[in-house]
Amino acid sequence: MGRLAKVILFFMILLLEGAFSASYADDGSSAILDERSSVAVVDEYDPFADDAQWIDEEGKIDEIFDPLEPMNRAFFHFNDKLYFWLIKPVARGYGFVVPKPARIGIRNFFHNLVFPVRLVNNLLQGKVRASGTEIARFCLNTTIGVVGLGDPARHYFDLVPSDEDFGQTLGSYGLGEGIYLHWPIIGPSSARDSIGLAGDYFVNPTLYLFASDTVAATSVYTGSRVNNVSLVIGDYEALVEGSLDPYIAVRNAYHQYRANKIRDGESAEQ
Amino acid sequence: MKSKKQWMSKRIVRWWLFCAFVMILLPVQVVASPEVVVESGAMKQVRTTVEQVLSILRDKSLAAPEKRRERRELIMARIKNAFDFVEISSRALGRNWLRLSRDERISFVGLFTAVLQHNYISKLEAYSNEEVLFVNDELNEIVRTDPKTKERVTTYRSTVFTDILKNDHKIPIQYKLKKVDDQWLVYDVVVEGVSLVMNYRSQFSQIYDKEKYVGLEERMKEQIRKSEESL
Repeated sequence: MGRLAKVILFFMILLLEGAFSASYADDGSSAILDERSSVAVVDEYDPFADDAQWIDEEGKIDEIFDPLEPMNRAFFHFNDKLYFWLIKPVARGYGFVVPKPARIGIRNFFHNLVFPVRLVNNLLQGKVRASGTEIARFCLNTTIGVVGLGDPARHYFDLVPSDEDFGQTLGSYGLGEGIYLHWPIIGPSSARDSIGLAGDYFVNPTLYLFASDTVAATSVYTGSRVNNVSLVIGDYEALVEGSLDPYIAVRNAYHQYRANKIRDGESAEQ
Repeated sequence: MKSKKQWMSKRIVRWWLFCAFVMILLPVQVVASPEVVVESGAMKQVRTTVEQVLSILRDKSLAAPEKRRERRELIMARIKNAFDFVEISSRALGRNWLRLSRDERISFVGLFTAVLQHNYISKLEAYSNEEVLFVNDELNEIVRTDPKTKERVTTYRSTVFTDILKNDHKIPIQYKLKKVDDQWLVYDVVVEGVSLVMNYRSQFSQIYDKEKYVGLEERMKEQIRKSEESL
């Protein structure tokens, strides 16, 4: 019995290992593929005449409801000019003067400051673990990270922030976007996300600054905006310059970006 | 009695050793395979293309402004081998693809390829100094029935997940690929959840509704002209 058991065990292990390596290596599947494709491919395959195969696979187009398009386009145009004529040159000049690590630090500082927004929305979405992570991050980054300038929580403790806001919370409750809105200065938004933005201000520490000193608050907002833009120069340009209709490109990018945020980056495969 | 016991313990020890040996072997196999054997075809395709393109972008001898055109042409040659522009074009047009004649499709693919290359390359140029991490990939098998031949056809698709580290921020970029004969070809690039193809589809569908194919073609030509000028 002993020998037989050993032999059986030996073969079982061999099989197991075979299965392991097969599941990791792609060779197994490509062998099958070669066989199939030689059958499936018709001799005179004409990609231009072929009626796209994917049509039934993902034919759904996301509709964005945009009844205020003329107004939105005007504001888009305004923001676009504001960016290229004012914000970008200022951010660029600022970027020349202030070294990159300092700018990253300032961005971290403001990100750390609006921690209540993330915490409240994580809680509202019932994300217990992410809420805990946010609290831990705030404690670590405010202390070891020197008032939030550094991000040791991510670099040394592997605690990744989960950027939740009230717009996403409403979205996760099933509320649709509503109409598309392109606000002056703020940029692309939707009815839902605008409500979200307003809601978030109640837990945003900068609101209290706004209430007491509007000028200071405005300069803080402008400062942080310029700082953050200085770190992403080129992103907006790439989107707008590669598009046939920049307004639609931005509108759709915003829509997809928000939908992805609400799904928390999970793929939307049907 | 005693010898029997001794014999038993010897057996146990032997079994023990055998099991230990197996235990040692197995994890090695499991741990080692993903690193050594495994880079999937799709991942390999994305990695080589991105690395080739980045090395061109980082090449100091091509960095001068008067060499920009040459540099773009070099990059385009690399991208042509890795992207399926017919698939990208048809997906970006969506249902309107079905409304185009064969000749219109051919001209559309040519124009859109040029538009995309300029766009994708300018994106890459913005990221040229950043670190790219090749995270993992996902293989999907899609079985469908061909409407004409009623045959079951299996196609393979893959999503390759990469991250770009830019100024201490991670930007997730996914490449969607499909297997054509023996090669993996990219048919969509998804940056922070924003699909390039879907983004163009939203533009094309609105332009097509108002201006039809003629208007679309005009706009693309205009776009290419602008990109050429900015070189």
